[in-house]
Amino acid sequence: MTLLLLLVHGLAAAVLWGAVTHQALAVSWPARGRENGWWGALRSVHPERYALAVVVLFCFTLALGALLYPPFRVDVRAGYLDAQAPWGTGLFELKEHAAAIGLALLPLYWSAWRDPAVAGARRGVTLALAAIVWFNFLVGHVVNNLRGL
Amino acid sequence: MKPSSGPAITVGMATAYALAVLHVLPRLYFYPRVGLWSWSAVAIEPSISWYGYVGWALVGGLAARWISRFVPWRTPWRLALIVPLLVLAGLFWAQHAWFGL
Repeated sequence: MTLLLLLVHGLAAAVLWGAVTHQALAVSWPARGRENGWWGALRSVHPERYALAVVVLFCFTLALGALLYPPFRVDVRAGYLDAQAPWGTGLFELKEHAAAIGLALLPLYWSAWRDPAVAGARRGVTLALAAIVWFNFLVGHVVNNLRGL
Repeated sequence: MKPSSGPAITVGMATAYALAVLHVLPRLYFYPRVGLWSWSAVAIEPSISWYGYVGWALVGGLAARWISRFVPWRTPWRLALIVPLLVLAGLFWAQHAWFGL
């Protein structure tokens, strides 16, 4: 069951990573007119259409991570990382703080994509959320490679 | 959630999370090996404080949403963006001992 949860957590994180990266690119470097090629197509998407998916995927991925925390705390952190690779514990501490702050950013993110009065925040909050997702995605892989569940 | 209350909720959540991590708010522990919740620490037992921190963040968000209904101004989005990022920077710095810094 833990392995299944971990796989779904990883897959959800991958989909979230793709969605928020796509959105961040489209809002930061929007395509001008009709652009051909991969780079142009990547930036030609409608970034507002990603907002709901990003919110749902972020919450879903975080909830799965929260479910996986107890076995991680006992089997991985207490059983290995704290003694053998404390920097891995430190990385995970950063990951959990980043996830919580990402959760806190979601109401602003939602407002930015739904309320014209907050539209000025779109680029900044999307880039911040994308940076958190990238960081947590990479740290999750590193910590899991150090000692998997 | 009304979209207009988003910035206030974000500020409330980030502030409450920081206060929880700083132990200004009561610390809630979950002990996964025995499956117990407690407000007090048991030194030899692995515990998870993060659930409590996130719980406080959600309470902070709800409180900020409620308060925002009674104030005549809107929380500036720049403030709502900078507060969580400053909190995150401080939290990252607080973990430097894990990396031998």
